[in-house]
Amino acid sequence: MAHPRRSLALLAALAIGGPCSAAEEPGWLALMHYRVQGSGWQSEADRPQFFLSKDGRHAPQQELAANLAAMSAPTYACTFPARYEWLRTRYAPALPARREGDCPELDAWYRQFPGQRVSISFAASFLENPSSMFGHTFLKVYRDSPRELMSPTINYAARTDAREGDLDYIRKGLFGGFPGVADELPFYRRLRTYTENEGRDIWEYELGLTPAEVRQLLLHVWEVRDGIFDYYFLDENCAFRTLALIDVARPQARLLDHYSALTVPVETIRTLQAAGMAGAPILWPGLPKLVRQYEAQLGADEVRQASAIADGSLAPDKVAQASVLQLAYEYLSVRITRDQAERETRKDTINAILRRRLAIGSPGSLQQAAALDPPESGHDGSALKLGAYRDGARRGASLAWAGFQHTLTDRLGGYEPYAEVTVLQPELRSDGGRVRLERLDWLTVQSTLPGSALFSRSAWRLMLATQRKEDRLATSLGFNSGQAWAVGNTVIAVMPGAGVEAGHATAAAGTLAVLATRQGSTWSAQAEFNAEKQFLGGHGYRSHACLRTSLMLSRNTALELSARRSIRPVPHTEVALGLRVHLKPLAFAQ
Amino acid sequence: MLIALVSLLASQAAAVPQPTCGCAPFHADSAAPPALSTPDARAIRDFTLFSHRKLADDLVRQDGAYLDTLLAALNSCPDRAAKLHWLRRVAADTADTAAFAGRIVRAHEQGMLCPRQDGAS
Repeated sequence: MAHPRRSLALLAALAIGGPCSAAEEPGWLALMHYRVQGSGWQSEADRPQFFLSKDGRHAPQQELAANLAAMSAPTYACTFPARYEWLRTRYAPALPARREGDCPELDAWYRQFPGQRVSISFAASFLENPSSMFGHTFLKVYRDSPRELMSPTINYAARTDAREGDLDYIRKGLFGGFPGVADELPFYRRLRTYTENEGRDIWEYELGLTPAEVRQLLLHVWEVRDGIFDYYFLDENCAFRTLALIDVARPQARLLDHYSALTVPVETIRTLQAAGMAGAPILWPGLPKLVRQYEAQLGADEVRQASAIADGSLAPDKVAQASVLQLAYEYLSVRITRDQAERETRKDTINAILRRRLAIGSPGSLQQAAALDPPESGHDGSALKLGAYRDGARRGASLAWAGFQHTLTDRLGGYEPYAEVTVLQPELRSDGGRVRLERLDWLTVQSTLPGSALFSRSAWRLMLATQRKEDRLATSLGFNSGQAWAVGNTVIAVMPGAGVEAGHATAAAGTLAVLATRQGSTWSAQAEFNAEKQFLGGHGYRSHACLRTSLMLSRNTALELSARRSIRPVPHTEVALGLRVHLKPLAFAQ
Repeated sequence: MLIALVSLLASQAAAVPQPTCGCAPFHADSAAPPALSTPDARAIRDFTLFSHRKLADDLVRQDGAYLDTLLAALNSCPDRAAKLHWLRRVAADTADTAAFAGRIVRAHEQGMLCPRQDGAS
């Protein structure tokens, strides 16, 4: 048998001079993160130390040759253990497998992962942080059961600097500059962050990977965990990188084929399900949501008692009803989690509730509600709307497309209730033979979470839009903040606010938005009133009212009818009928 | 130095009576500060510090992922009911999170003995 090093040199020479097929195997392309770029290849890795050949970023074949030539070096298997395993198995079986003790640093890191089962978790959207608006995904490695909360996770995120200004944060997030790093905190820390601190649901799906695939995935994490990739909020984000790790474990599934300009985290769950790799979800509910569910199961007097206990005005010892104590305990947990001052002042109270609950011996009868539709069952992210309208004597057609959109009148299933997000929605209108831009919604984020006896009424809206006003385009930025109430199935929100506008004139205005929304799985309706009084740079007054309703025809299709009455400055009425189709968000097959 | 450290750890380990589960007396509440000489102990301490409220809720319900995780981590005693009983006592007796975590870690560091069946700690 030839010496392994000589064989490798021969193989390396063959790789350079031979056909490209070896270097274009899915396994190699996945390990090196090559994607098609024009007529060639480009790796997504942004750091030169990831490559061994000069043109490695663009030349899979040269990079393969360089790796074959280098893989018998003592440090190679410690730096690139997944590559080593893949190359060794394929080209150099005479080389020894990496043994425990060969790479002490890698070994110590790898020992964190005693399990051989992997799940992917989806943390639901979190409107209060722009980078989490579409959700977040991470992996968990465990032994036998997803209930093992000390199991390590693999969480890919941007390493940001708290001193970074807002504009720098946005610039680097969109165009690169933050290194992407993976950490391995245990799952209970993720539960604390997402379900308690941020109140988000986590949906967890076991991945159908073999132990060998899990090992390859983990070894590859070692190769890329420390800043090999720049982090981009829109495309190469947590969800994409997490999917890319799974792609390394099972390259033949070609999980990344349909991703390019934008990666919405829930799409990666759909991709894994379509590939038959993700199991049924487990729900870890957000704590505030759980408390709201508990609150709904008790009468008003009992809720008042629970509130009084949490406030410290009623001693837990005076209460014998386990469910009231259960609600008081969880409710106070929410307050303590969110407020450092409460943590200090209510520590004794929560311990007193605990002791009382233990003394009573009954846990209480409040139950987590049955899981609703998981996120992947929701409509797709982009939206295309084709419609016809009549505005006075004018009739015409409209065409709108949104990069991402979920409105309060969209089908609710799979999305957070009371939350609305629209990103980049231009609308064109055609009438009398001319086509014009009617509006361009850059960003709309809205939350109208109704209050209850325990939770304050919180509603807010942030909107950046270019709109046609009095037949001229004007760009405005507005923020409204107010309160929301639930009246049966309807949520009413009243939000005063302020805004600035630039267009034919620059003005600042006080605004008022009033919404009444009924969200459902088969139909939704919304009545809206908006008023605006300019107080700087102008003295104009604008107001309009709008009624809109959606009838869901399928998961991704809805019929929409709307009527809009402009009251000031020029009264007129517009009626529109449209068909809205949700599509995969900016995903192009390559 | 490494040899000295290993020797020290070995002597400490030898000083801790090995549990014969189900019957050994429970000394977890002694005044000795937790040595945290093992990664397991550190993991249990961090888990209990971070998850005190959730653990306590699971202890009230006598069920839940937090409780299952802790019971599995305190693996030197196979008697789930005894561990549960003792943990409920600890949760009721301790005034804050640090004390709760400290008592559990001490128990583990000292070999996590199964508590006496009369419930005394």
